[in-house]
Amino acid sequence: MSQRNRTLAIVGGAVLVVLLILGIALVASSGDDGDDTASTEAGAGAGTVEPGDEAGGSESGDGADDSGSGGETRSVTVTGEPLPPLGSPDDDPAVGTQAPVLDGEEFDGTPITIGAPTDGPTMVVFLAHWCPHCNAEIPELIELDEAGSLPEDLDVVGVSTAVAADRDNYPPSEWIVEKGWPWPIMVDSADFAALDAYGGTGFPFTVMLDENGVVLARKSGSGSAEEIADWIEITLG
Amino acid sequence: MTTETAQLFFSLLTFAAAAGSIVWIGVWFAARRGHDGAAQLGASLGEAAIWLAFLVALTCTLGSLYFSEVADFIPCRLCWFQRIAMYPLPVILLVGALRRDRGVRWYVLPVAVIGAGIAAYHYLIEWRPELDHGACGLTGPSCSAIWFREFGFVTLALMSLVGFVTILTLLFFRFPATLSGRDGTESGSVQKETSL
Repeated sequence: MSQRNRTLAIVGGAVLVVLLILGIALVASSGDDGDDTASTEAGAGAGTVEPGDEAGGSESGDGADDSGSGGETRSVTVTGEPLPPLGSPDDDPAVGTQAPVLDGEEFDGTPITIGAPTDGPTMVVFLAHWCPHCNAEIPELIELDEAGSLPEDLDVVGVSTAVAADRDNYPPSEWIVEKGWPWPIMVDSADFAALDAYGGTGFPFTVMLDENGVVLARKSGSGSAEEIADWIEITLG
Repeated sequence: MTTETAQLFFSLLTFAAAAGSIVWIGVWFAARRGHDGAAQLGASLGEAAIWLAFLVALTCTLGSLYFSEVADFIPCRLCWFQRIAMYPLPVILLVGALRRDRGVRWYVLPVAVIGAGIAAYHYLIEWRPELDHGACGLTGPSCSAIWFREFGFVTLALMSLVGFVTILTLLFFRFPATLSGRDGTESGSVQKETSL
């Protein structure tokens, strides 16, 4: 066999293998309903997303219904001037300004208020159930809490936002229990009223308020327990 | 073809490419140790190496385009970096194969190594999102959020990684060549380069 023919035979064989695998895939997938799209039993926090989802932008499904109680999103009343969207945390124009007051509900219907005067600083953590970084952040916060590394007078409150019924870890009311979130959590509305009011641009989104509801710092993104502790220490001075 | 079928198809191709790379390297070592059968097989395989690498790069490119343009999987930032590395390869390798220019591997090397590195990091943060201290964006997908995990571990990042590594294996585990360059591109060095 000539050199050219040998090459042709090898490349042709490779193409045949590809076609054979295509045939196997077609036969195998015709035998089910296509429900093998994803194994979501991945590592910590990793999940799957679905086509058509803009991250954080999907609010489809029954979870988007915030009329009445019992849903995965609820009405949130915003009182005050919304904060500008977060750009650079090192040059944040929102620092030193009064945060708007958010009035809403927890998943069990308990009224909850964020931004009103309290006895001490408040760390507000906006979380999305489908976000791997939020899933990574929660155990780090819990670790800090269990180690007694959070300031005693610091209140922590979560906000479940960017709910999407067709994304991973839905519904968030169950997800937050499975993650062991030990603090109160507000349920954001389907149009992300709380997140928008605080200028969130990504998840997890953390806002530190002083006892009068004035913004001390904002940041976007997850970190290790040590990094979070450092950020809290620097922020609270 | 449904998206589920495409996921299975490209996942199986990933297995085939990985297995093929392992066999390729095995034959290469056997040939190096003087095994006559392996040397003969290797000589035939070596002549087709650039065409096979082209086939792998073309499949990766078409698969990438299928998932973004047909299946509507929005590419994340790291996906785009890998695309930048992968998309030129079918063109470069086709030209190299048509010209029978074994020196084409040196043009492929930096691009494929960069692509493989990004793909390896991407696959890592899919399993360990805490290593990527980023955030899930409001306007685009997070690099650690995955579209699917076929067989529990095959993701688009792994497919990309295997694609780049297979291309590098085909081009750099070289068997003694029996062909010479068609023109002067590397004709003077073809015989010199027959050993790795």
